[in-house]
Amino acid sequence: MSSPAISTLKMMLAKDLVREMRSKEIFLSSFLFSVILMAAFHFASAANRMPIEYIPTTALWVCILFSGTLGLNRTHASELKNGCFRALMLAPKEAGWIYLAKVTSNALLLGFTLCLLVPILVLFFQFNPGSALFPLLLSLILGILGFVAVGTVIVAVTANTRMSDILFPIIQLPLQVPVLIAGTQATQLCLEGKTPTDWWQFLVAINVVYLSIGFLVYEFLLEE
Amino acid sequence: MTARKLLIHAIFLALLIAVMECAILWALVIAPADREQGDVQRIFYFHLGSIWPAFLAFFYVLYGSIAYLVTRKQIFDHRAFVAGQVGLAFGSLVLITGPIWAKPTWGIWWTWDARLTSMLVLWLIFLGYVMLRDYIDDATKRERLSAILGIAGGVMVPFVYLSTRWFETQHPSPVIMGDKESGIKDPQMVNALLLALAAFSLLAIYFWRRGIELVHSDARLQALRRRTLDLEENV
Repeated sequence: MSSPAISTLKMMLAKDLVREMRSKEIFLSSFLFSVILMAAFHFASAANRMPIEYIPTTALWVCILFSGTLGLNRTHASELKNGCFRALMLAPKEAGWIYLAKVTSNALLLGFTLCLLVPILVLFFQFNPGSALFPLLLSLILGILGFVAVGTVIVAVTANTRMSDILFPIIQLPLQVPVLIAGTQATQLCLEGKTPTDWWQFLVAINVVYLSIGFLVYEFLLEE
Repeated sequence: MTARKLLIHAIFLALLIAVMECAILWALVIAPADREQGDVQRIFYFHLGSIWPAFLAFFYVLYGSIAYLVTRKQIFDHRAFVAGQVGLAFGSLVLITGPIWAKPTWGIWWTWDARLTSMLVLWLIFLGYVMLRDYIDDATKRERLSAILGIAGGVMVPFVYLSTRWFETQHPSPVIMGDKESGIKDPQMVNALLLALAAFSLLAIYFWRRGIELVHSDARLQALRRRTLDLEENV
């Protein structure tokens, strides 16, 4: 990794994280939305007496999907304010590294939200990771990274459209289905005490492919 | 259209009609009925026949999108966009014929089996690709953003195919590139399948070529309209 790449990553990460620490708008909205989603899950699953041990995985991944979508949309919207995105276009930095920095900051924000969601999962649904904490963490990290790798490209594409708020989830969610399936399967297997090696490999493959694609095409997204 | 182009077009159309007639004849009359499913199985020729061009079209979206971003030639964008539309049309056929076949065979119209789900997901991805253009007002960005989404969607096709092998499924094993147990044994059934594949492939190519001509004409018309408006303003 060359030094300009590291400096781009550092600067972008610092910018995104400092902005979020000051405003807290993405974190707060994603977190509150997730808590509301979990409460909704309880009422929806109580109606058909769904066993409580099946709910945490589903609730966790639905929260990642929808709160993540909300968060990505907000992150990009805040980038458009005050001509920040134009500044990124003009920055004499390689677009691929800007993309990787955006992926990292988005993943960190979503990961942080998730860290606060776990106690709520324990409280609401008797979620007990037990000895599966490390495999569970690995599944979530791989899943979140895959989710953000796809979402960061799509949010920048749909931001140029008339109805970006609606188009972003419509276009993004079908693309996230492999990540969602692999993520939920891996999480559930971890909770059952098994090692989901196949799903981890699948998630790693998705991550490698999408991060590479994003790295290559982000340059075209930063064109005027 | 020049005389040579017209001749090629007529020959292609005649070939398409002939192959389609043969495919219908083989699928509905000559090929024997399935031992277990009976005549219902005959829809399989149309079902599988539509999947092949749909997947091919989706791969072409990926190729055309990459080619456009690399060369910036508008023709690749037109080809990729029409491939997306053709893929969507054939994907719709798959999603329509699938449940019609599923009801008498499985007893249900739809099941969240991996292969059905993955086809639906691919269909939604390419619906998004085709829809995107209508919502981009800035014409200078339309082709570029479409190409980026085309790449993001096209890359998903192998993952969707992989998923068919990995997930638990009640769908029959793939006939092509499946395991030793799967596949068709009767030679007339194989002929019917090959004819159906040829007919649907030719039909897809026909739609694709006509679609490109339409999109190309539309782009020329828009350019002429802009030029006329500019001239009017200058006068």
